[in-house]
Amino acid sequence: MREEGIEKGKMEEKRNLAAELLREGFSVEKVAKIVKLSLDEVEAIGASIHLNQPES
Amino acid sequence: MKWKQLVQVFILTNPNLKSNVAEALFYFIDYLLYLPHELTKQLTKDLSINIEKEAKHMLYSEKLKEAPTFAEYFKTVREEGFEKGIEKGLEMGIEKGIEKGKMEERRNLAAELLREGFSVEKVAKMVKLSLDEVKEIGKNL
Repeated sequence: MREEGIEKGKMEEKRNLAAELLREGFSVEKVAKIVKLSLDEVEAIGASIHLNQPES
Repeated sequence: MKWKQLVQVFILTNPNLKSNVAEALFYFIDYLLYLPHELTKQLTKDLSINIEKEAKHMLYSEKLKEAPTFAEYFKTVREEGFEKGIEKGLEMGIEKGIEKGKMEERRNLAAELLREGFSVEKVAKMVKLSLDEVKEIGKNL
């Protein structure tokens, strides 16, 4: 159960940082490489950023 | 069953009864109006509402705890408590795990960003670690 939590915490931080990097303007490929997530996952994170906080 | 419950509730909620008298009465009724197990369970359930509302003070009596209806009540309370405890324990385990995973991953990501050439300040801000922590991680690269 504890291991499940650790995995969950890691994923959360990866996604946070991925979002942060995308907001800074890094490419999906670059972000995926740095945080070690798949391109699809990073793209999905990018899509949710645009949904949640539309650039004004 | 109806009768038994009425009498029991009467005992439990009657403030004029001394607790030792109430105990004796409870015992008396428990044995006089003996119910099959299933009905005792049902009765215990109905009764527990009254126990929780009005008769907490009586539960300190060790003797009363052994009267059949009360014994059933305590069994239920204990089992529920046990299950809640396990659940809570698991939850806490997961939460601790999440915290640990987050910290571990922040350090991993900080190392990765430093390798990419980001400044210590920038990395600290992005992964939410202190400057000192990031510097420490930089030394170990």
